[in-house]
Amino acid sequence: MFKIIRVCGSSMEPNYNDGDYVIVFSWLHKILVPSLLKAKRDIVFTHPALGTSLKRIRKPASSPFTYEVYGTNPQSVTPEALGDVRLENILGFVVWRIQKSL
Amino acid sequence: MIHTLLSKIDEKFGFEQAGAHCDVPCGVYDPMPAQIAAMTVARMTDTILDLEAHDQKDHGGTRDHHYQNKITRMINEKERSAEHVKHEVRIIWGDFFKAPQFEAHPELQNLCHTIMMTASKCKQNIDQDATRKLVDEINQFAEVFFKIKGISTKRVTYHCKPNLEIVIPEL
Repeated sequence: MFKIIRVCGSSMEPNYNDGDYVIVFSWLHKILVPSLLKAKRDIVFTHPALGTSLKRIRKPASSPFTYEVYGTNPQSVTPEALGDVRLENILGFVVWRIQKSL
Repeated sequence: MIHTLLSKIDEKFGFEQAGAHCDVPCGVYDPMPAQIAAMTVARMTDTILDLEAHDQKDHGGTRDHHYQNKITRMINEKERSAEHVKHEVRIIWGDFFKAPQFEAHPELQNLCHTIMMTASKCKQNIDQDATRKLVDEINQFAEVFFKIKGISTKRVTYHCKPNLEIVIPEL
């Protein structure tokens, strides 16, 4: 139900930094769509080229059960390059961020 | 405290990792584009000087519109290529080299800066010596680059005019 995942990279800065941990709720979204998968929700998903990735939902995409996502850092891979994320590839959504100690 | 605890658990068992990718990861770095651009600067400077001599000898120094068209194109290419040298070196300097490389090769910072200065000199002047110096500095840069990658290099004569020496990897 919950997974602990380590953040790697800086595309979600300043919301998540490299080395942070996130607690991901990993199945409820598949039952309660669309109420849980809405804009500004941070999700972890598998990407065909980039592997397991963390991004923020911009909005539902035009196709059913797909979502446009983006990185909050302007240097992030663009939403166009990422492509839409399908529900079946979403591992879960972030419920808690554990920030790296500075 | 929670993060510290999770870090210790992570070290032992390894949590899954989610990439927050900042760019499409390519990891493709090579000094060859800078080397070819430096060769182009040298070649364009030579052709500019040749064109002057040709115009004086065969056209009485008229510098008509044909001459002006040619010289403009050559200068434009020299300018563009010198800027390309600077761009390519900046990319490798900024993205590929990291602190450990600068510590292991303390001459790198100065070499990169010198390349910037020499490339600018090539833009500002019609200076054959400066273009040869630029090619030599880019070759030194390539040697350090491949040394860092653990790849041996050799110097060969480049197949295009002005047939200067170029550093290539022994792959």
